[in-house]
Amino acid sequence: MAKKRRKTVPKRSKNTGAIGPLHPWRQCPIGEHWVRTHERNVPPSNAHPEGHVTTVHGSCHPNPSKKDVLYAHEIARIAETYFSDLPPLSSNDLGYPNGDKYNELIAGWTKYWNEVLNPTVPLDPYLVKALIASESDFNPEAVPPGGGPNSARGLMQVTNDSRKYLADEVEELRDFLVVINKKDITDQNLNIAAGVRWLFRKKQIVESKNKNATWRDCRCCVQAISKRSSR
Amino acid sequence: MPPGGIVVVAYKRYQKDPQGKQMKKFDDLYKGLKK
Repeated sequence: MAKKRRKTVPKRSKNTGAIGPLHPWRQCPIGEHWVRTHERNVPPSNAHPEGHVTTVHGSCHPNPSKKDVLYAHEIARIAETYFSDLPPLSSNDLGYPNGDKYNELIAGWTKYWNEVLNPTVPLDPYLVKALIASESDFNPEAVPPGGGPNSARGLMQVTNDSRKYLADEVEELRDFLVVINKKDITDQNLNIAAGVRWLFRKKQIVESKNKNATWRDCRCCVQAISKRSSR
Repeated sequence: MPPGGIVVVAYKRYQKDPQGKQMKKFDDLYKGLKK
């Protein structure tokens, strides 16, 4: 007798009622976020007078806003799990020492945000690569000349203001937020994940002024925001 | 100024000179990748 195959039922969020994740690469249903396996220090008690350390296994946790939020843990998990299987970008270092080093991250995050935000004209990963070359020369620690503590940082020159806007569900994005700590903004993976999301937001703003705006037109605003934030 | 406002100001400036120095560098790099 043939064995009955068990059906995989998408998980329903207790927080939002949504069934399944936003994207196949996401771990949790919409409205929840992934927290990876980590250790927790438990304070002293009668049973353990000196305290002890327990392992908390990775699990989904509700987002208070009930909106979609990407946190650093899941950004790292997605890149580690899925990006090496993607079709690679053509090799071309443009004459920079690290010119091909970030191709996997560029391809991965461009694909992810294209699939989540579904623009009429998809963002070209090579445009993202050219943007990184012109903004930071592929230097993940890049800071503009005379840059202050809130100035643009990293491969895509994400400013501290942009970082805050990406996490702000009221004023700016309203959904599909990205939450990253200020100290982590030069992390290559987090910087590209956030930078590409920010590019989509800029496209939306520019399109409100010109419905025929192209992805190239959005590049114009990177420099302006970097200059303002470095003052 | 909210970010939307900054982007709009930058976009208006860009519309006056869409082939500026920074854009030329970007365009050249992008063309280099699309060859």
